[in-house]
Amino acid sequence: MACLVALGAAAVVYMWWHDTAPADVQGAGAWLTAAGRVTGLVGTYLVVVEVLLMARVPWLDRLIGMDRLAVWHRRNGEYAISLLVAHALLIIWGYAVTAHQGVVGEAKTVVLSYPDMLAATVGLGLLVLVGVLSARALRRRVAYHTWYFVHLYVYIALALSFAHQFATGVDFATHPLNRLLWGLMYAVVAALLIGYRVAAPLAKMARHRFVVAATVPEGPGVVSVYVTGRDLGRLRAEAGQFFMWRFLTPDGWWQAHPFSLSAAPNGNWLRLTAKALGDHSASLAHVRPGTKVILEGPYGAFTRHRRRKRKVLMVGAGIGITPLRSLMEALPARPGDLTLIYRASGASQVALRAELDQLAARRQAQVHYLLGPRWQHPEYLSPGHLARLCPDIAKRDVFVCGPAGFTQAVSESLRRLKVPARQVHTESFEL
Amino acid sequence: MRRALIATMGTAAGLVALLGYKSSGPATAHRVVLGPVGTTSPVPAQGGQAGPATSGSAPTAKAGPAPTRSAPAASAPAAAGTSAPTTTPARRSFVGQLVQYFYGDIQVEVTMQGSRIVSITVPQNGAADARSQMINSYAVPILEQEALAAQGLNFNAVTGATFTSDAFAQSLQSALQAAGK
Repeated sequence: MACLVALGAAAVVYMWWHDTAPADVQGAGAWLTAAGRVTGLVGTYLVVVEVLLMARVPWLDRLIGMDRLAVWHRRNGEYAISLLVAHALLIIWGYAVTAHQGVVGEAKTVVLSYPDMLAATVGLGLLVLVGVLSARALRRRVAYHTWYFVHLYVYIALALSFAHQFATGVDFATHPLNRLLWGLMYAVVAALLIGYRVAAPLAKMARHRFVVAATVPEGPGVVSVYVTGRDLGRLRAEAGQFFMWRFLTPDGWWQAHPFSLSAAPNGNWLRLTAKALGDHSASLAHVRPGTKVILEGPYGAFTRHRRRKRKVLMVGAGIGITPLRSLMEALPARPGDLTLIYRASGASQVALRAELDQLAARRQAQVHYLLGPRWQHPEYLSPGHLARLCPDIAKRDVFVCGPAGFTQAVSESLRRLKVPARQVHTESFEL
Repeated sequence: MRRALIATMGTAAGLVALLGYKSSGPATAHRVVLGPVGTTSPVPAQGGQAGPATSGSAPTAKAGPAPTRSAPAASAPAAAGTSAPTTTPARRSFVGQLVQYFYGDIQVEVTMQGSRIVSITVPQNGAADARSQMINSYAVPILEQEALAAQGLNFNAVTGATFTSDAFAQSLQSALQAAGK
């Protein structure tokens, strides 16, 4: 996928290369302008890729996984917006040098008198706003719904900046074929976005009529929500997967959140188990039975299809236990094949303990609880400790789910224990 | 932070390499590109006035419809002047075809004295937008001077004004053909 994106970028650069004569890049002004053109083309292309990454296309999800897509989305977004800022500055600077004008005066001319440039400038401003609010440093201080709604500005920004490309872009103004291909790129991504994020979930809701059956408190700050509907078997959901859940309550209908299935799908109900991490998870406890639900999914490749060995080790932390709990129920296994290691900061933080113990007894699986604050037990995730808990670890598939720092630490230990990378399957739930 | 640094440096290096490689292409300085002026190239009318071309075409710039306005008549101050030595040939003006290109249209007028070009002017210099106008206002005087200095078409295009340069040269070519040069 990364190769495909790079290939597309190369094609975009080639388009510029093909349309540009050596004479067009002589002198300082022409160099700056040409650099501005290339950064503009590639930056715009990457913004469109950015939308594609979040279009929840099923084959992208299977290929890459939503969690990694989200990481790519963040990095690619930062880069794309930087390129577009560079594009604007370089073009203005280049024009100013070519026309022997001051930069400020030239900026004014470009923005105010060139066709569609005012709209494009507003669009760039919106993109920068989204970028700044999503920067890691600021992201934690911004309320989820602010961040969410500001992200919708990206679509406005894309629409506003579209016209200036064809009106003033040399590569498009004089080349109908480029115009066609560029327009096609926008159209395909828009179709995927609308198809998978709007049409498909609505069609699923009409068909399955998802509705909340019950909410059950599981412990301090942890709640399970049971959802029923028609024909749930046809969803083809699997243990280890997740849905985007949109509860149609008066104040929560506009946001969809990812939660793993915390029990293997059984045709009668689906269940999520959430911890009160943010405003939304906290409000789940108050969702009334009978509330309608829109589900997007199932997503995720954290399933039995990843399995390569007979024996399986599952390592989870905190609320990351939920997909492992489903896998523990559903993975085909003989007695002794399954082992679960569950890291939590205290006994009260262990979710679904009764169920886990029950499952362990029924399937003759081993469960190790690693409890206590991290500073007291720095050795918990060390290679030596993991090997002691699970001596044949290198011959097992290892499913790891938890916060990013945790999955990283476990992955590092597994590498040192020489567990082949293809046997290690991670999912981190920071979408 | 390190990743940002690498991305920035990498992008800058890539751009410089790309532009450097592009700019050192086959021709370091763009010569104006000229196509055939067309079968009905301007012929000097009576009084040394160039007739407009009707179907000029070139690969880079398309010749526009024939200009309808009549070209300014030859300004021949020397014709009746007694002060002018009789050996000095009369000045004759030739108007090139009106060339339309993507960013505007342009028409060149040359004034000849014998086989020498004594002046090159641009009576028609339309621009499609503000930027093109600004570029032309800067590029056209340079083109006039360069073409005059070169006494013909052997001059370089103005950087950043490739389209204007090509159109200018095309119109100039048709005017020179009309002048029989």
